[in-house]
Amino acid sequence: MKSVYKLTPVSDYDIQGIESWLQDMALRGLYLKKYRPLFCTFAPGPARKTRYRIEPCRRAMDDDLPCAMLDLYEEYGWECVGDINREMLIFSTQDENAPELHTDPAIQGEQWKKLYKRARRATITTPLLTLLIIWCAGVQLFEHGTPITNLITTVSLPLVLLCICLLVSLPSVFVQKRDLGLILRQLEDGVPLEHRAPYPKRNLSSPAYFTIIVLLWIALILGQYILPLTGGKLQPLSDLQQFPLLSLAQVEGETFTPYTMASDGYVDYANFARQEHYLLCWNSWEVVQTGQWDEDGTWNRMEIFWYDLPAPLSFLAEPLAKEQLEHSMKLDEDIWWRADPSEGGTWSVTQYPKAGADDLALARREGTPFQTAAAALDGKVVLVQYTGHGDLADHLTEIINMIA
Amino acid sequence: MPGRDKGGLTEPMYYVLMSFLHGEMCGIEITDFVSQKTAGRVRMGRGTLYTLLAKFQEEKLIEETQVDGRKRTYRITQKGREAFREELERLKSCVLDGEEELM
Repeated sequence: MKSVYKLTPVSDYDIQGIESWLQDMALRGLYLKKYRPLFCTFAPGPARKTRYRIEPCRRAMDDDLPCAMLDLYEEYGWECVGDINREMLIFSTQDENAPELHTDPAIQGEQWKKLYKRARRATITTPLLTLLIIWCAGVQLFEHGTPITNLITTVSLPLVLLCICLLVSLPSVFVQKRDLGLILRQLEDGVPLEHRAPYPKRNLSSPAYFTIIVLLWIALILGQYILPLTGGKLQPLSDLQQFPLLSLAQVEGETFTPYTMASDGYVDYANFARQEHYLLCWNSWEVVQTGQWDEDGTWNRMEIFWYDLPAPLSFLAEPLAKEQLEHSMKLDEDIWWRADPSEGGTWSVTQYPKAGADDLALARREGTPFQTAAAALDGKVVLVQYTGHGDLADHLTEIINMIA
Repeated sequence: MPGRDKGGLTEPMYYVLMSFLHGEMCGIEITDFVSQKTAGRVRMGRGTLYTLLAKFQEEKLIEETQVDGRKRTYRITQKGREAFREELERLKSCVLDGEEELM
């Protein structure tokens, strides 16, 4: 039989609202097949007056439906037709003579008390969980003191947006507690629950919120687990077509002697280009070029990090270039781009505002072979890290050409 | 459980527990007993009965003895008998107190 789908217009703890809505749907010839917080499935049939009642019945993930309860209710014509979040069961009957399920509000309140206590606990655990996720997002965003780089190259953005969604939905935890508290108080006072209440015709905020949450989770999984698998393959430098590469040989000059770690059929681990895909920067490259050690103990080597930001994020190019340069000057990366702090040496930074880029700066560490340059132009950013005897200042045009 | 936590049984609890003094009972037999015994004054909804049976089982006042299709049968335990007797004494004492005051 064909099913009919309807958006659920009420929240899970609006008990009277759900009962009223389901009863109205039955009068239109639609009978509940499956309840979901977002949308429900109905089976069409002849319209009949049907009573729906919601009973608290919390079950763990591996618990079956409580047969004792179902059997007892069925004896009197009440059939279990749905489940709400494994916390409540929906019963229905079309038998006008079927007696009401509860005759003692105080005893009925006992069932709701368990649910209320859980909702009360959630008002503590949910904010704590939200704080934990906010903390994780903060750590990821500000790790290494490079928030812009982290924003672009990690899943910080969906994580931050998820935090915002959690914060926005936080009040609903307290509303649930309040709603259950009202039900409990009414029953404890000996007042039976009403089974009729007005309810909204539509509730579009829940589907919108659900869609946003799903999209954010997809973005998180995509960014964290899928995208890293789509890039990362080492390629020979000759295959790099994306931008005109500033080569180590150009900077080092005639004295340059290449160094390779290649063997038959294997990639040269000392000279390669690698593309990486990120959620906010689909096109980025890391290029490594290596020369021999000089007699004075200097290792000729160059690493280039290249980013092509999407148009909406091009405004981040300049701050990213500045941040990359600043981080590069910390000399705290792998075994090559690292210096013992006791060696001293200060960085001198030169800006080149008229070189043709939105931002171009070159930094040299005095008395050492370390040089680094960062440039930004039209949403593209490049960072060059170099050790050797050449001077990056002589190759500003080539640096800009990489992002032109 | 209302009343029970404070030491006493509510009226539905009292009659449900009383029903087991006749032997093993299933849901319908319990509600029929309560209805006959109280001449329809105490009505017993299915939800109310389920909540009571679950609570009595949890407190080991009754125990399940048989499941035959949808029919589940329960019997009272020694602890249940003691709880009922205790409640009976309490009620007797209440009645006596009331009668004394009336005289």
